[in-house]
Amino acid sequence: MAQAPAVFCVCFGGVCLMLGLFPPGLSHVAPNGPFRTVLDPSGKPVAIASPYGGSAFFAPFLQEYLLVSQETGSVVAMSASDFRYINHEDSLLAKIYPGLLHLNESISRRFSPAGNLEAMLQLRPGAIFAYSLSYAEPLRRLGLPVISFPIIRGKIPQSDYYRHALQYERVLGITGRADELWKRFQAGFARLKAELGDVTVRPRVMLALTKQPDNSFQVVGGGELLGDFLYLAGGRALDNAGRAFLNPEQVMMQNPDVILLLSLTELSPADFYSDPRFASLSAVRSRRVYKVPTGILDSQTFPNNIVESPLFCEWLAELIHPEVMPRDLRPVIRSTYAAVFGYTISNPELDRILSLNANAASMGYRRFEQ
Amino acid sequence: MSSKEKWIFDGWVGSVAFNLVLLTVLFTLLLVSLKIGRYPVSVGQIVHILASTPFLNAKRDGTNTVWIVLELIRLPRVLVVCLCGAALGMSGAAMQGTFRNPLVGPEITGVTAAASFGGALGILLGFSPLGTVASAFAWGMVGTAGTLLVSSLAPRSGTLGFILVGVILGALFSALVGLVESLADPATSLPNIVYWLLGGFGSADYRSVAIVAGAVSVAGPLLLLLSWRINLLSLSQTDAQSLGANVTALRWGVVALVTLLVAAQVSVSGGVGWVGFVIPHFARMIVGPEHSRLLPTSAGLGAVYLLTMDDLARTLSRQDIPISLLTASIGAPLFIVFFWRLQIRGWSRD
Repeated sequence: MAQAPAVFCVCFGGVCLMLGLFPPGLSHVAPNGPFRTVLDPSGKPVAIASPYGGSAFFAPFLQEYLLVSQETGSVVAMSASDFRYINHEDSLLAKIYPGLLHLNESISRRFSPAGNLEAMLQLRPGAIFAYSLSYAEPLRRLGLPVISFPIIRGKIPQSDYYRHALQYERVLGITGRADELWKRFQAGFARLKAELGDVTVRPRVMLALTKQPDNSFQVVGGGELLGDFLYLAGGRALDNAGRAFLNPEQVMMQNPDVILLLSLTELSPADFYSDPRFASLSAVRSRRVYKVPTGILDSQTFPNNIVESPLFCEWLAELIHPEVMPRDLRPVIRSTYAAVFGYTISNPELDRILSLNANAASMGYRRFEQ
Repeated sequence: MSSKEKWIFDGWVGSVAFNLVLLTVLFTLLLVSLKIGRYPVSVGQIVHILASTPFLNAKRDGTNTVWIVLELIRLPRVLVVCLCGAALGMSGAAMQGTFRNPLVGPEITGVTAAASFGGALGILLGFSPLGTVASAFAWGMVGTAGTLLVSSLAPRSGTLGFILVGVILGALFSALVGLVESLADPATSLPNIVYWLLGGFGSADYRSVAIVAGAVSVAGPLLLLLSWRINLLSLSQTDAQSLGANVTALRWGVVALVTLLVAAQVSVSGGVGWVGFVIPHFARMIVGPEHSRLLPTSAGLGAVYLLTMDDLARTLSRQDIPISLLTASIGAPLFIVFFWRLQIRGWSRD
């Protein structure tokens, strides 16, 4: 009697196997109406319908996109995690682009944009920006227009900012904005270089990205883009080549001159100053522990975009080389945001961006007050 | 079976009737599952598309959204869930019979933890989706091979030694998964790894169907054909040998087939716990412990159970719930009930 279920098993499994080996597929994925073809960063051709149907965002480059598009009408969906950083009353981005608050963030849960494929089909955006690998492939399989960004391991070049901006330009069908932003980026660093001159003393800077549950810190080394920014600001990263986890003892061994805390660490300088374990650190004794400004885009990791990266470096350079740097960050930020976003930033908003409250007890931070 | 104890569907006629009903339920549930989802699709559209589409190698225009939803999203998902449920149900029943232990599941060989490690490692190293699946499958096989190899060093320890080694290697691979997680980039690969480890069928496609179907169409029939021999393993080793069974070879053969099924399942959906443990107990209550009846019933019940759980995972909230959370929240209380019953009556396996 076992033969009957075995035969059924073979038949059912066989049918499924044939279906799996010769699946139904899409013979035609281009839109019905007029469209243009753009290449995504991995070189795959993607058909973009005209008129453009809006962008869905599941990649970490929303900042560049908004800087290029300069409006939110074309953003139709974003990941829940990105939305969380916009959806609060202090969000400058939401003030500049109030349309962002009306997006449907529930299309994607934090871990799996691919989990709501049907919602994406319902939405039918003009383009979906996503990481490559498991995020992009299920969407692409359905014939959706996916612009997939590769996950880069190792050092990301500065020119990636420009490449991303160009990518967005091509998708949106505009020209000139990427060049404008890239020139501003280069000019910012050129000005910084001229102001710093040839600094001879470079403080060792520990840039803490995250704090782990075991009290260790994920820190930036010299072998990556953020390490380059520390150098351009007149400092130098710790000795590790890339990102590394340092426990409190290793932090003490490294004994950095300056400690920078990203908002993701959920720590403030006061936490370091009050922790007896860190009392002997050079950065703590000289009270040079700083909360990194969040930037206008309320980035959870870093003011990490083509406009704000030079501002971050200028902020750091003013802190670690106050003797040579002019005291002009506030007007520079104000003029930058006016030029890039057309937004007049208020003094309380500037105070919040610069984390004045959190850094009140840190050395030299009063220079950023109005 | 004790002389006084009766199963709900006793005898061949009863079990065949039950399995036919089970097939009907499964088919109905399959159609219901094709209807459920975020994108509205009517029953008429389902019938029309399924009836009008050439089943193999159909090509469609990318602008036909209903067709895409049905044939490229829901159908492969439903098929993979059915196949995985059947594979886990059958594997659990075979393992419990082979090791004469009602509290083991297919993961006892270490295959689930090893395959999870393989998948997590693939994501960490940036493998393509197919490479990740291949890594999970390969490491699943490595895990069981390691369990077989290490336990063979102490042949006198018997099944207990095998189970113990499986638990130890499972713990080792779980630790390695933790290591991979700690090395993963919190912004990129870690969320992927965590989601994959939680288990789910959101990314199921026809490639997943082929992988699990391949395993089921090879290992499933072989397990079913071995079912009467697995009955012998339920006896003591001496009794089984006196009846002509090569106990050692048979046991390792069953383990290899179960490993093939579970590695295929884990590689396409991540770890899905409790199905392989709980379902065979239900099946045993219904058709009894005779494996030629128990294995197909476990497979059918496994498919129905997992498909129901996946439908709930898709519909309980606006976002997919990892299916392991659902199977565990139902499986754990059932485990307590079975454990209590075992304490009261002992396990009837003869």
